[in-house]
Amino acid sequence: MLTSSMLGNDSNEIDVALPEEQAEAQKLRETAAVQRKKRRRRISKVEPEKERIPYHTEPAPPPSPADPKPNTDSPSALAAEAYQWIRQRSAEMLEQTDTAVQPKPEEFVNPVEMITEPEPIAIPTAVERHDPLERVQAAEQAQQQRKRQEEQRKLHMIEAAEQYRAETAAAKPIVKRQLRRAERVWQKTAKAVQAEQQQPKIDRRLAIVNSVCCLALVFGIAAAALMLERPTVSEIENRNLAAMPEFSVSNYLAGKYTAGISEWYDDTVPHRETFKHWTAKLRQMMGWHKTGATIHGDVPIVQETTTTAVTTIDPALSVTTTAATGTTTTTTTVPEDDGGELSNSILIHNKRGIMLYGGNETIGEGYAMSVNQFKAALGEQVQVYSMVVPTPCSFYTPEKFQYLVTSEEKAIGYIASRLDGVKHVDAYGALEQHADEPIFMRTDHHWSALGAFYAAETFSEVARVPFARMSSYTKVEKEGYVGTLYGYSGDITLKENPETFFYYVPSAQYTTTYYNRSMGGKHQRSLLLDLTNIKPASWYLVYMGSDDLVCHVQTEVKNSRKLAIFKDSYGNALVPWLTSSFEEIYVIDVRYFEPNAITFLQERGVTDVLFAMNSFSASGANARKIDTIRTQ
Amino acid sequence: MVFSSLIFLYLFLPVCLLCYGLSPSITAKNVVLIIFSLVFYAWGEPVYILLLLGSVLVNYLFGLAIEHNKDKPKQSGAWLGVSLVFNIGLLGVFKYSAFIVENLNLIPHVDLPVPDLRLPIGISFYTFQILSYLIDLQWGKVACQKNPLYFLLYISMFPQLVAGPIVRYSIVEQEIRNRSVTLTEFSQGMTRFILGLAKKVILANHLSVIVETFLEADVSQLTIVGAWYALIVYALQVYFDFSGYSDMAIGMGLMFGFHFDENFCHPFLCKDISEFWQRWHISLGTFFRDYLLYVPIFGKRRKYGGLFLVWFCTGLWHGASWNFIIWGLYFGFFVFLEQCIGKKQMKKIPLVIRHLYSKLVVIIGFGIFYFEDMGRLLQCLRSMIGLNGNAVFDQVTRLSMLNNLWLLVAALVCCFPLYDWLQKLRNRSTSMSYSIGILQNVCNVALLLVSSVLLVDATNNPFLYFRF
Repeated sequence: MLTSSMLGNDSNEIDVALPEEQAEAQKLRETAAVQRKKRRRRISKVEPEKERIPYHTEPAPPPSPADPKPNTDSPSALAAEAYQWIRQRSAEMLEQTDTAVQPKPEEFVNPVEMITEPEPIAIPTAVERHDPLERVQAAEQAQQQRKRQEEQRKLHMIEAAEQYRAETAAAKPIVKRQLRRAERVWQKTAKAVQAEQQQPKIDRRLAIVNSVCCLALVFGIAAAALMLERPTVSEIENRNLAAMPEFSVSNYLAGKYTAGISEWYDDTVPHRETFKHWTAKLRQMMGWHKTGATIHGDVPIVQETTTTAVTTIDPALSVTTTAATGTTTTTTTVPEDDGGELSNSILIHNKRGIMLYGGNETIGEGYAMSVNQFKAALGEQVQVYSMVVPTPCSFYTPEKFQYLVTSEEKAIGYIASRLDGVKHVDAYGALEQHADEPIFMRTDHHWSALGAFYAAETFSEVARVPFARMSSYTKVEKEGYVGTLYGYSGDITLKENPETFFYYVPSAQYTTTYYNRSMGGKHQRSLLLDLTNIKPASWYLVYMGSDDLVCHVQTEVKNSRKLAIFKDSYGNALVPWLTSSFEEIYVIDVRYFEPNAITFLQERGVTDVLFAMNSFSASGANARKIDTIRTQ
Repeated sequence: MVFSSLIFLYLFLPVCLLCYGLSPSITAKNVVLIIFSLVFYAWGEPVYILLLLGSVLVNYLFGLAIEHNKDKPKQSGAWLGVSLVFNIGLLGVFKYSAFIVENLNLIPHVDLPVPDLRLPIGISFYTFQILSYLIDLQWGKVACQKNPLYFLLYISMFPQLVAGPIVRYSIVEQEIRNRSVTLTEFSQGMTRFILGLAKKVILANHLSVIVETFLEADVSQLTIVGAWYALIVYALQVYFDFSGYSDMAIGMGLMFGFHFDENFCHPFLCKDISEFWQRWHISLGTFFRDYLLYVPIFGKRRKYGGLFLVWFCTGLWHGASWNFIIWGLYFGFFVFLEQCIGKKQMKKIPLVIRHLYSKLVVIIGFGIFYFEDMGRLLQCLRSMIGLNGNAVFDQVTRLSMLNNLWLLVAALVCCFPLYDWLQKLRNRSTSMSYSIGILQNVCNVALLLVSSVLLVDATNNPFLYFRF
């Protein structure tokens, strides 16, 4: 025990207790006390740290799969060690506390007894001492000294006992705390040991659940993917899905066959549109959309064009209307398209999709030159007009995103300034005045029938032809329209906020004849399609149903004016508005026309040629198509 | 075929697991694995599969030759030398010939025709695996594999074939011959696979959209914040893509009873560049360390010559382009610098500074990794420090950050060892163990579903390793 040995040390000093020696003894006592304190501090400082060892190492990770070596630090081994240690410590501490809390009387006395008897002072015997007086004096002296020593011893004993009591009293709370902590550690370790012992069992159970769930999911989806019907067309994306490739050795060796199968499998997932909808929702969840604006695709650069291919459905081959039953069967084949009407940067703002117009303001140079050459080739007799239609980004881009957009007004103005002998139709001005009306569709990259009306009106003024009032048309509205921009951007905001699609049916009488790209395959069909069985995403196809056919409209107007419209899909919406203005109208898409345009126009005796495209087309690949159809 | 595609997840893998599970013996299982691995490789490389098979055959014979001359170190050494020349030559022809010729053509009066060889997918990975086998064989660390099918299985095993990790022969030596899959390990493998898939499909693919938006554009127009943002996102993208692939490989390995080594260990938690490379693409780092740095040819000059050679090779391994070489040497420089300072001195630098320093070096390193065109890299770096005179911040950057806020937060959080923390918690008590297990199960199902849905319309599902 720690105290007894110390007291023993002290008592040795007492034997020769002289005043100066007493002081030395006192000093020694003090150092002993300091040592004791130090030791106590060590107990409270170092040992709890030892106790915490199990905290760190005990919840060792389960033997990792990649590490098949036996784990020497397994929880059970550590826990057993910790358990042993804690038991031992607890026992020691309990013992300590017992003695500390209740010093039993005999223990209290004990230190006193353990003080060794002082060496008896040597008193000279009578034989040694001849002087009896000296002998008496010496005996008295010795007796006095013994008395003194006895008193001092008693004093010291009391002092030591008190000190001991004070020390143990001070130690009490520390020991208690350590005990509590040990208890806690023990409980945790016990829990961990229990968990560890049961771990294999638990792991097995969980593994069964996990494996069954995951495998069921994988095999279930695999089976469903094989058995359910696969779509062939994506309505919302406006394109044909990948088809199963044809096998050929050369295809196989080029890796096209296997890649084609992968593409087909991945592209034609059953219920594709549903999944696409979920994808859009998930993408929405990945960010914060309270700002009301989202950008999809590239950051537009206001220096060069960022136009990409757009695909247009060709329901002409596809939508066969059986007049008797009035049902429409859709078997769509989509021409793989090359024309650029669409930018791949789309800003969604206020539930409206806005394609951002990039490129610099002189980007229309090529278009203007092509149109000029076209005019030159046609000669003086034929009047040529250029109508470049602005897009929503001119009117609906919020102020803070303006810097992303090149001014279409300036770009169109530049084109107008470069035209030579070609009349400029200011669609921009016409639309700008009515920007607060629904001149564009919110969810589609096209304009609306109303926008086309204002532009057509302006054109009729430039071309000096009659123009029917709007009241002579019947408006048809269809709810639930979500246009192409949802498919392109995948933005759920558009999907969740459908709009009303509308078009106008002219009261004027006319007949429409369609030809294919090479002016063959002549057949008659109405100018405006029946939308009953057409999915909302394709409702813009109401105008003639496709882009790649040549449409010939013969009206009852008698003014000897024959118009040919060279257009992209924007131009389609103009046609119904012009049925009271020209005798005949040829509607030709610059992207698909195969004969030489000049010869064709001259053969047909066309008097007016209108180029009607949106600004993206005019600054993109479609401008070059004008040269192609002129020279091919 | 890539792992993150529907046809792999819902056609190839289930059929493979089914056949594997139904195979009665280990031999049958091995045959199933070999067949599926070859189909897997031939799917993407219908022609170069012959190269793979040829390479396996020749190297199998090299192995036998080295074994045959075991007692004659000179002859076995010569065989090893021949095999090294063969393998590295193969890699050189298919991967580096165009690069070398293009650079030779820069010398005046040299005008060689540039060979038009497409890089066979995964050639760097499997060539290195073969090298590790042959060298270990020569060093007596592994026994010679006398069964050509086992050797073919080791090289062509589809989980690690096209995108690593580089599995050493010693790791799977026993398991090729005999292995068993416990239910627990199968489940762990499944979990690992799904986590990897989620890393790739949910995080990396969507981060790549951001990267493209910013770095594919004119980088000289980027704002300061935008440039930093783009590079940080790119670093995250590459990490999640690559480590996701490794996780999928390790997970599938477990499902088939193989125990591959870890390839990534939370690299962004590193405190210095040496540590970064101990945590990033570990299988490549240790390969160069063991087979190049520690070979005796450098002797005491290891610290200088050897180190830079290793980093040159590390860079070159990632692709035949100067930017990769610069990228490797760039990291080599910082590792060298740290070695000069010394470990003890490094530890004296405050932790915050060490973290900032290492992240800065890593992020700029990824810039070098991204831009093959040095001009664009410089433009980007100029944008980062505002030398292009652009704004500090703009609406597009702000919008991109906001529109991808949760994605970015998730990506940053996933840089920490969440999974390990959860596993540690498991051992606290029985109930904890159950609840975490169930949570994991629910997460697995949810992540698999979400990843699959996102794969249906994956416009951005890049395969980053076609150059490796």
